[in-house]
Amino acid sequence: MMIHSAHQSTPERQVERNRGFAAARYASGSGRLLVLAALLIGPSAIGLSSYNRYLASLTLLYVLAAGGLNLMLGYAGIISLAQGSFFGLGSYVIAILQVHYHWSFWLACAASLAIGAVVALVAAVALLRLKMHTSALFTLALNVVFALAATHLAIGGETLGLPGIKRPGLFGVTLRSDRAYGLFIGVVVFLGMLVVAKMTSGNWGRAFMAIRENEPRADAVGVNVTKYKMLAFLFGSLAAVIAGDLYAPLVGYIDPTSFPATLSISFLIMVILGGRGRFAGAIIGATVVTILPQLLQATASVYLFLFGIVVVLATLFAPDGIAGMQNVARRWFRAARRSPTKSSAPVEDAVKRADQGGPAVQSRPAMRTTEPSQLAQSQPRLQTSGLSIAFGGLAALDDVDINVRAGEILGLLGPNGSGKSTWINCVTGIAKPRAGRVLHNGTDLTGGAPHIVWRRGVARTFQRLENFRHLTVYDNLLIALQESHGSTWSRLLRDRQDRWRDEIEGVLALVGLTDLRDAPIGSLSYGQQKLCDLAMALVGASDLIFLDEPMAGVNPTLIQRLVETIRVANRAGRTFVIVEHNMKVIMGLCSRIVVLENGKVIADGPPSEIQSDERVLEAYFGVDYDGVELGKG
Amino acid sequence: MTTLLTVENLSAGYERGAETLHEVSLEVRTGQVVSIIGPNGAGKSTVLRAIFGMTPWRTGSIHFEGAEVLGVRTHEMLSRGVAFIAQGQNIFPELSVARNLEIGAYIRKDRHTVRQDIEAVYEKYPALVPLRNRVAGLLSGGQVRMLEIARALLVRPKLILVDEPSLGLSPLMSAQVFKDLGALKKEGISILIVEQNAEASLRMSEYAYVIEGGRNGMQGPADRMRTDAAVRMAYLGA
Amino acid sequence: MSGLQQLAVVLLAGLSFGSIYSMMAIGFSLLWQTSRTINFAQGDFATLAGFLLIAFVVDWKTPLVLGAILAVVCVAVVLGYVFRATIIRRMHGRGLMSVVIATFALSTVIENGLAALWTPQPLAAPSIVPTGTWHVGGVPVGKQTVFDFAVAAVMLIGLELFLNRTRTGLALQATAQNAPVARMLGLNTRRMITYAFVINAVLAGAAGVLLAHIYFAQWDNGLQLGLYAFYAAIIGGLNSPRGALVGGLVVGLVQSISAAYISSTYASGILVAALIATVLVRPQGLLGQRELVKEYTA
Repeated sequence: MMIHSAHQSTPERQVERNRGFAAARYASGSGRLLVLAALLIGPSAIGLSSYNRYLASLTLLYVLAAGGLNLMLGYAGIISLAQGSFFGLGSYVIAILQVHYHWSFWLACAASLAIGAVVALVAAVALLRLKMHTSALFTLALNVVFALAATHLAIGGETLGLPGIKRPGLFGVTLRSDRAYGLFIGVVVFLGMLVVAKMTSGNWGRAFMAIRENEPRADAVGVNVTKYKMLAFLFGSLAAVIAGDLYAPLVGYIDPTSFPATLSISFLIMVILGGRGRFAGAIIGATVVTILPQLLQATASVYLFLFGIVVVLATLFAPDGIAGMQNVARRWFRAARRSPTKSSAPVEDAVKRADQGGPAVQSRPAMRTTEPSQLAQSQPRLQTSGLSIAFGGLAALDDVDINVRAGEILGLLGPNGSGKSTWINCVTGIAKPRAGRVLHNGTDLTGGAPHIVWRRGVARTFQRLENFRHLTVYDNLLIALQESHGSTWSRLLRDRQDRWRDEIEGVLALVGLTDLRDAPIGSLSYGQQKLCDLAMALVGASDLIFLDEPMAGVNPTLIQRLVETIRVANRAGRTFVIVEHNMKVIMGLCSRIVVLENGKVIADGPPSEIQSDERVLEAYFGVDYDGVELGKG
Repeated sequence: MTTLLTVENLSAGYERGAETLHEVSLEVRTGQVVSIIGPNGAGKSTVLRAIFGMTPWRTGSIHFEGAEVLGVRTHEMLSRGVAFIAQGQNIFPELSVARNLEIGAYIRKDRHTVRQDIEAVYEKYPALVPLRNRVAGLLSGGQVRMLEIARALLVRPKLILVDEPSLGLSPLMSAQVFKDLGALKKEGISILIVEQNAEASLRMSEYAYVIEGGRNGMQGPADRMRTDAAVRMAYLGA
Repeated sequence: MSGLQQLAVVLLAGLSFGSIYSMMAIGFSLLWQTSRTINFAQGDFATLAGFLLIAFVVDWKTPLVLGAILAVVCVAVVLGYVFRATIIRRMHGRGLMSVVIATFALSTVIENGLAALWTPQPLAAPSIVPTGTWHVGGVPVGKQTVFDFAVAAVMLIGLELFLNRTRTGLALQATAQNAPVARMLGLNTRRMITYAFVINAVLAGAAGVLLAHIYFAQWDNGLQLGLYAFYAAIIGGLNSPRGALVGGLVVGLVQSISAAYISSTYASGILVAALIATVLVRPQGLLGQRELVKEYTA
């Protein structure tokens, strides 16, 4: 379930990679605008031959379609091989509605968007049920559907093709000339790419990155993964539809051979070669793939063959494509010069310093305190009653009733396999209990998805390190915070980062990692990453925090830090439930202990009681089997 | 009794910077059952995995039958006569019991004697005979464990490493498992067992080591460890 | 010919094609199970074999059967062994997307390579069995149909024997079912994955050789074929070899039935509908199992 491959790289590489990342991510808004503006005027420039003007317009349309594909693929991790079909869909709708039914361009456009949206949403539902690789093949199958629909619908008329597609009119003027229409295309693509840029930066951009880095963890910190993926697929496909809408009037005539299967393949190549997950990737890729073959004067087969080989090599040696070349180049350059990277030294020092305990733990006023309301005081923070779940016939939880009082630090103990993590998983929505209820401050949480549970104020950490490895510490905390505020759309439109800065800085100070806020989290030591996990749970308004073995494998100094942080947060009003095997720490930290064995609660009381409880001792130390009646086995 | 396995100052781990074991030492003699007990999360399983060559990195020294085996990979440990029964269910769910046994002898080249050994194993565990053709995924927990023990015997082991055999089993099944393991001692097979149920494990052992926080804790003859109050209290952090 | 007799013809054709699709689907499923690879180029492996058959027999005048075997061997070596050893090996740990893109790019390379470096025109392959029909109870039974079915059946039986009666076959199954445990028992799972790639290439190559005389060999056949293998594997069950077998037959029958009674173009549409239905209703396929959170550790 929580499987995460270990990326073994040195701190230097991490810092530098992060910088490359940062450069792409935060490519200055004005920089992007300049590039886009340049594209805009491309096809309408003076002095171009008519063919070159057509080529420039076509390139722009491909940029838009590739940009949409990049959104899906590079950001949300969905491989679509049907982008060419959505492109074709746009063209066909425009062509059929105009030629056969004499609709205006604009109405036909609206219709194409509506149809495209429906198709995309239906496809997305099926896609999200399949894993990545099978879903990619599934989109190939979609192409078949499109091809069938196209031949079926278009052959409605006498001719196989649809000639005579007119260019649209704007404010009463028909954009008939190539230059005028080219400018129109430029404007539309510019706006389209602006939208793409907006979606891939700010809150949405961070959410996508989180999904790409560690999907289960993203889900657990409030990112509605399914929703984001569907939105990416929807908008990515619609980008292709719009591009297709503009294509039909550009060429004036389409027929079933206008949109071969190779179109989808070309879009994929554009994104991979250009650089997936990078804004410039689509632009570079589309330009290269469209223009280069013209220069080579080669047939489609030849250049696709060559591009195919380049893509294979790229996946081996340059997975970030052309846009990522700056990193590859920098790495080689650095290796050639053999000079230690000066820039990473401060990070390493900071890591070492923080590892040795860091600044003293203080409770900062900016740290959010939960005011226990009248209501909250009278009812438990959490109630689980009759919780049961079984895996493969074995009851992992058997009618478990555990209440967590507001403001306490509850220790949850039990031998391996007694159900501790399972109970937490049931409460936080990762596992669905067969029976029983989970009430948080009186509200029913049973069976809720992890991201909903997080947003309701229940946070958790995991046994194994689960974070967004290549993102900075600051960004990790930001992601944990952002999804609990506002709606998906308000987060797209407004980036209120500055409002949250104080809160994040407060938590960073609490755990003593302020100096490391800009370091990629993967470059921190194991114990520090565990502190970050705790920080992620503390940021935001969660009033109940589950810690699953927070001290496993952590050095003693940092354990002290963890303990102090928990105490401070608890004094500020947070309730904790801690699963730990480090008995000495637990007995000292917790006010109450619940012990599980074989999915049942066997003890509940203060540490002193538990330590002398015979049943608990038996559960941990074991029982003698000599007396057990042995049957025939 | 000669020394079969010596582990000296073994440090091992899975993630860089997060060592699970720190300079652990222990010893197993021929025909001896040795228990590794201690609080959970203390690295007990890692000891077995490190010995068997399954941890990404380790330092220190491990001697088996006098030869240094620190750098030796899993399949060679099997050839040398070390078998590993890992935690949880480790079978091939869609293969029959017979096939699961067959694959257990994969590293052996002497096909004919393997067949004889398989027959011997059926004699030793007659409960497996009616299950020969049943798909392993349908077996109960206790039957799976019996299959795993039988399978381990097919490499003609001198030492069997067993990791938490009673995990997930009912008391009845656990009792049977411990009985079966104990019976192996009579054939001169040594067993190094990590077990949560310290009580049961100590009853069938000669010697025991406590591993706490990835390091050696107390050690001594199993009987003495079983009745020592200090050992019990350590389990609960007191 | 009565309706029943026509049905018999259609069903026979369906089984014959279906068994060839089964071959491709089983290889596909085997790759998935052993190394979580989805081979986008599966159909192109078959197409390439078809082209090589034509090269050996028509251009270089090799005897027919020898040429067929050589074609399959070439595909097995280059697309099985070499591909695995050079590219797939390096993909280890880079994430699923890289593998998908790599096999996908391979598909593009093969298809366009054939078109650009050989010919974009369809080529006719010589048939291994003289054309003709027997008449059984009034039903015309094509000799080629029977031959294809027989060869496919032999290969499938051979695969079954290999998997279940040989030590290596058993090891391959073990690797597919539980690789960590297989490693613990001393199996070289890396080598098993290589075997899976080679076997897959042999199956796909043989399928291509058989199909070459039915469909003209053309550079873009691979797309359709690969899709059929994919449908078969998904509908039957990706993690079940029996499922792949059943899935292949289903695809063959659907194709044959719709070509005869509805329209051949719509055969693809019906298959896609079946695919979508499977994904929505029973994603693990007819005979597959839900991929559970595995209980076995190690």
